[in-house]
This record gives sequence, C-alpha cells and structure tokens, in this order.
Amino acid sequence: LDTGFWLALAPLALLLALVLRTRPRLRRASLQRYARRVDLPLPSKRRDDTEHLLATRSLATDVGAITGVVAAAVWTATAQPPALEEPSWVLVLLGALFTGGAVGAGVSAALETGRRPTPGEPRVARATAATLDDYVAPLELHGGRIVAVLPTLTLVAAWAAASWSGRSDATAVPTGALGIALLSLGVVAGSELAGRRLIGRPQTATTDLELAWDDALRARALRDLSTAPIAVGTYGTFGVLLALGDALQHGAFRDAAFGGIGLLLVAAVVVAVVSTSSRPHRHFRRRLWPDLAAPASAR
Amino acid sequence: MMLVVDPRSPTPPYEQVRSQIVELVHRGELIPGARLPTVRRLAGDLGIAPNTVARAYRELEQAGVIETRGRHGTFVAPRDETAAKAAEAAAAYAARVRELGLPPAEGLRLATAALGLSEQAPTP
Repeated sequence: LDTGFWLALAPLALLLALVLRTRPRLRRASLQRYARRVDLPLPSKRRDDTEHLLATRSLATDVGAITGVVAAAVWTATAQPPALEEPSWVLVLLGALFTGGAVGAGVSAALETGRRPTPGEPRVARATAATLDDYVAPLELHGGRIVAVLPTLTLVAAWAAASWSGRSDATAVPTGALGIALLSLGVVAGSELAGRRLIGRPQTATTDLELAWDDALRARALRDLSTAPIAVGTYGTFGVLLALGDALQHGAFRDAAFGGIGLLLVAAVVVAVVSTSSRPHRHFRRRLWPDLAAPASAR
Repeated sequence: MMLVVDPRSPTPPYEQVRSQIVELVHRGELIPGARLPTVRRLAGDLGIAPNTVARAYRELEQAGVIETRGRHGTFVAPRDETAAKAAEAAAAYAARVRELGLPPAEGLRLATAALGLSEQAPTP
C-alpha cells in the first residue's frame, strides 16, 4: 500500500466521520452509549450541549487520526534517504493514527469554551483540588510516561552495547529511529503540559450531576491525551527495534533487537488486558463520585 | 464534598464558602491534609471574585481550620482533638439555641456568662 492509497482514503474517511458525528440520531445514541459506559445518569439540563461537545470531540479525534496517518504516509514516502524500511513504516502509520487522534481530542478539549452560566444561578464546586490521578487510571497515567521514554532508552542501550563491543557499524543511529525517540519525548512533555492546563480550567456547574458530567468529559479528554505518549512510545519502540534490526547485519545484535520486539509485544498485550479489565473509563467515577447514584439501566 | 454558593442568599458569598468548609471539616468529610482548590480556581468554579474566596480562606486560616503551605497550596490543618471536641460542643449548643428560638445574641450572652467572662450568671 503506497502513499497514494492513504491519500485517496483520507477524504473518504473524513466524509464518513462527518456523517457519523453530525446526524442527530447518531449523536444522541453516542451520548447514551457514553452515559452507560461511565455509569452516569443522562444530563437533565444540558443534554444538547453535552451531545454537541461529545460529537465535536469525536470528530476532532477522527480528523486528528486521519491527519496523522496522511502526515506519516507522506513522511515515510518522501524522506531522503528513506527514514524507515518496511515493515517499520506500518508501525509508524499505526502510531500516527492513535497519536493524531489523541492530539485532535486534546486540541478540541483545549478550545472548548465551557458553559456560560445564567446569572443568579447557584453554583456548585468541589471542596478539594482534583488532580490528574483522579481522572486517569495509574496504569494509563504512569504507563504512558514510562512507555514514552522506551524508544530513547532502547536507542541508548543499543548504542552503548555497540560501543562497548567495539562495533563501529552498529553505533550509527538510524535517522528515523532517532526521530521517533525525540518525537516520543516531545509528545509526553506536550501531553503533560496540556493535561495540567486542562485540569486547571474552571468547571461551571449548577448541580452535582452537571459537575459529574464535566468530570466525565474532562476525564475522557485527559485519557485521550494520555493515549498519545502510549501510542508513540509503544509503536515508536517497535519502530526503533525494527530499524535497528534492519540496520544491523551482525547476528547477535539483530537477534537481540528482534527479541526485544517479541518481549514488548507480550508486555503490550498483558498491559492492555489488565488495563481494559479495570474499566479505566470509570476511574474518575470511583475517585470523585463514589456515592453518586448510577442510572438504573447502567447497573 | 461540594460547596454551593447561592447568589440570591442573604448570606455573603465569602461566609457561605467559609461556613461550608468549616462544616465539612467538622463532619470529617474534609480530612486533615486534604488539599483545597486554589483561590483562583474555586472563584472560577463558583462564579465569584477571587478576593471573596481569599477572604474566606484567610478567615479559615486565622481560625486554624486550614493552612497555607507556600506554593504547594492550601490544606486542611491537622486537627487539635481538644479544640475539635470543643467546637462540636459549641455547634451542638448553637443548634439547641436555635431550636429554643433564642436570638443569637442571647445565646452568646449565656455562653459568655457560663465561661465566667461576664458578671451576669446564666439563667437556670
């Protein structure tokens, strides 16, 4: 599949996303699905606003993912000398898909203006300061931070091993691998900064349920943001190991690189299963709203 | 653990914030060491001026309910058990005074007399 294929697919994917996210019936269904997912009763007063917000976020995620894939496809096709060999670029595309989606969701959340309160309405606020740990499950939060430095650690370890063994051919770091490592560090720093800014924004609510929904949408944005370092780190490490494996002709080093891929694959599957089974989308609910009554349909 | 500010209430907003935080601390819902929102953040959430929240925090700090730890933020102060029991007793007394329909000034006069701070003895 060449760059032309991805470029041709992008407008179609964009059109599909527009249709899915703008049809009122689908938007309503999406909100109901999300309410069940986070175990919250549907908002009574701001349902249209919430529907609109969810749809806008989802559309931004789609646009970000499509943009990421197109940018990665163009980069892998035009970089001279070729930045990555096959199959590394497939991993770059997958990483770009998830990272682009996370960036899209983050940008959308950052641009949201929030609800304008009606003057004279009572206002509700939490008496304690909420932190990132209240919105994002530890495995996702700390996992993202750890995974994001893996490409760099892998490169440093490979370079150190090659230097130590006195192999001059192995100490040359592939350009693409270095780019991925730097990108991964940049993404985790950007994600942390954006997360902290999002946490610091005021929440406008007149009832507990409104505040709970604001928390739900905030948690979703923060979890989306935490996806970026996880995606870049995981796919980046695969990409770095493959690039190293391709660049190295020597048996022992090549075997070590491909062994690392196998190990990472197993670890990624185990972490994904553990994380999913802990229902991380309800983490904010357990931390911030343990006593809020769940909707009857969600029990 | 919610704070509610009603702009239509005759109670000033700073007093609404102050009294609710005191109540949450007394009920044990806000435990010692719990971090409160920043002045600016709470003001934004409640739709009131930062000075209003700052005044409530200042009074709470003077009363020993909360403490500011530099740029780390504002926290619920460690609890003095004796003071806490006295505060609970005072709250119970205030509730009883309200139940009896006595004006607050009369309740205060009786408490002052019971503490031996005035010459007039409490009415049996």
